[in-house]
Amino acid sequence: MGVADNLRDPVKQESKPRAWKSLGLSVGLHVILLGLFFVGWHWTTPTPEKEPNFITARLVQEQRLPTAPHPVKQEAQAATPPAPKAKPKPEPKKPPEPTPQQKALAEKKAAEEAARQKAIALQQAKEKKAEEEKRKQDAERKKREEAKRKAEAAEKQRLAEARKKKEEEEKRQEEAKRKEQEQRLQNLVQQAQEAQKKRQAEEALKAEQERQRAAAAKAQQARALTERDKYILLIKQRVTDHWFRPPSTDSNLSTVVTIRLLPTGELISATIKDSSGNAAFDNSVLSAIRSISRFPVPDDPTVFNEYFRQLSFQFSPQGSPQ
Amino acid sequence: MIAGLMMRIIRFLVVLCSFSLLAQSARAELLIHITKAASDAIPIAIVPFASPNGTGPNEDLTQIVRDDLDMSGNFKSLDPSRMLSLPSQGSQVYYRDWRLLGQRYLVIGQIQRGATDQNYHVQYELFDVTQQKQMLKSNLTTTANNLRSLAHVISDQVYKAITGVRGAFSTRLAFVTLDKEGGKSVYRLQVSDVDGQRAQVLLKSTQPILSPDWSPDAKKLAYVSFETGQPAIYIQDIATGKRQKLTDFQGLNSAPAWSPDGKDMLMTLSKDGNAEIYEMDLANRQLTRLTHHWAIDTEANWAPDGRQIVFTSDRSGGPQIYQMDLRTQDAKRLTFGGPYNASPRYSPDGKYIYYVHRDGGNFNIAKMNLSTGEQTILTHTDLDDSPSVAPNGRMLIYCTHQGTKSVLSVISVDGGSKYFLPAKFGDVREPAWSPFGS
Repeated sequence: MGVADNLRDPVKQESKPRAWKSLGLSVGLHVILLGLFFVGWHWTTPTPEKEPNFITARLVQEQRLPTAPHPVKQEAQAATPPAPKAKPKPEPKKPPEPTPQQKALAEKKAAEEAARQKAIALQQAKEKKAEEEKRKQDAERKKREEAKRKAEAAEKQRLAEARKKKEEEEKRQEEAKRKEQEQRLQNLVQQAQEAQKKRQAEEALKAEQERQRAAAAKAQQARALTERDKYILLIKQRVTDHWFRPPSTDSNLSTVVTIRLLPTGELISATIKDSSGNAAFDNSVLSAIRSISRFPVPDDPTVFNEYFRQLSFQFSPQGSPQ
Repeated sequence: MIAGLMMRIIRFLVVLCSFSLLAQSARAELLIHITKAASDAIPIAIVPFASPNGTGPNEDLTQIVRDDLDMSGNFKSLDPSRMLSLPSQGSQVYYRDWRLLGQRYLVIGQIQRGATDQNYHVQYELFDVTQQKQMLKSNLTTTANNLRSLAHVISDQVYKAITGVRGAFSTRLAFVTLDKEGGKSVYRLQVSDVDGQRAQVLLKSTQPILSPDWSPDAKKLAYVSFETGQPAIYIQDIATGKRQKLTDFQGLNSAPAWSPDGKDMLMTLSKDGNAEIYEMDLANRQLTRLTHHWAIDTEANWAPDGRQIVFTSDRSGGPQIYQMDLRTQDAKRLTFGGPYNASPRYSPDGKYIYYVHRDGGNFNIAKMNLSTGEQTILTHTDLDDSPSVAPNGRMLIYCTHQGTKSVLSVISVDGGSKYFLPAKFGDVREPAWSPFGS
């Protein structure tokens, strides 16, 4: 889709300048034609009243003519060229005057000559004008043809270029596509490799983290154990200090009491789990437990929750295996 | 019907399984073993009884109770001067105060004399300080001359309520005193309260009196008197003072010991040439010789079950303790530790014997666990003898020496505290603790 757009786009964009170019060309052509018309009109209309000064004028004209049929830019200049024609006029009035006869003859001769000359000139002018006109038309035609040819060639070239461009573009695109695919493939491979690398790195990291976590847990457990052992000793000492063993005739008594503690070490409850069957003995145990206002417990909540939130004591007068 | 039963059984098993799983998943709970106590002496506060209308006796009954409980070695009473308050009714008790003083139990009460009967009326209460509850409330009445007995009854009740063991404070002691009067030795056989008070002389003699032994009903005493110049065994009724001579065989007549049922008596006689142990049927005075040995056999004592006896014999070369099964009359030696072990007495439960043990130059009271043979030395003075166990098995009285005088001392059978009976007698020896009696 994108490729198609790309292919079409340059054409579209080129069609606009081309239209402007041909419009400019045709306008220029018309302006030139109009200019030529005006020039031609000057040539024809003012001449009958004017003196033979035309030669100079013609020279001027001739010099100008080749330049006249040229591009649009000269449009403004084309309107002004007639102005210099007026200037040469005063000059023919100045030549010296001969004697009357001579003058008359001469005048007659001159007049004839002038008429002849004039006729010739006129004829010549006419011919020249026709020729000029023909030449102009030829040039014009030629120019048109040339322009047309040029336009065609340009168009052709443009088309060729466009085609070439298009082909190139297609080729380029194809190449790009191929490259892209290659790149994509390469990317995929690279990505896969990277993913694998990443996965391996992650796995390694995970393993390392796991190892560290396990080590930390182990350390924590060890710490908890030492903390636990420390507080077991402290609690044991505290309970021992508060236990007043009643006199008993039976040395095999044993009472298990379960207690629940607050994290502050305060007693929530104490219940006989395994009675010795001797109320006084059980009572001494409860009394010992309840007389302790605060049990020594670890600050570490993990250790506390694990071991000391609820624990039991086995009270027995005789030493039992620890 | 059967299917339904099966279903029920299956359901039951499933429930059982889930319970056991639960039990398994439960964390192993911490179990701390407590095998030692701070002390065997329980702190107790016995507040002097109030006398609301001023009719109380001059004597402080509560001091008798304090002494009794202290003597047991199982209690340590609080000196009244340290008490923060002196409540006499439950409503006046602030547990916190007593807890502050480290007390576990509290006794309060009132005593007054009846307006009409002239008897003393005591109402007292026992509280558990740590568990903040009343354990006992009791009303007692007694005559004016029996106030001490009332105090011992209170001691017994309090002791029983707290320890679960019957108190032996209302029982009595028998002992022999020796005084020098006008250059002459005077022996007196006496009977007193367990605290040595209210002593009563049963027999006065210039000749030695030995080995008093209580009848199981605690009404009579058997003893050896040399009053005739020869040793003879007598039985005397305590209440009436009436007595009878039981034996005056040639030679030794010693160490009388009542059987648990009171029908027989063990004694040592040398009428057959050597000191042997005999059993006498008290009804017909028939003798049965129990020992047949060239060595001296003496100081026999009945096991509480009446089937066995223990005695001292030097058949091994020195005095040692032997036990005999009365049916088979087989004797086996019990003591092996030390060169001298003598004067054995069974504990009331028959599980222990108490005896005199010499270790080096010292004679001490020792205890042996009969099932294990384990021996424990209970006293640590240098010349202790004549152990006698209280009927509740918790206290032991024995004779020891202070300077040149012999005195009686009471200890807990656990070897705890030591209580000396008031030394108002010159020399005291041969103590015998009475049974509970009837």
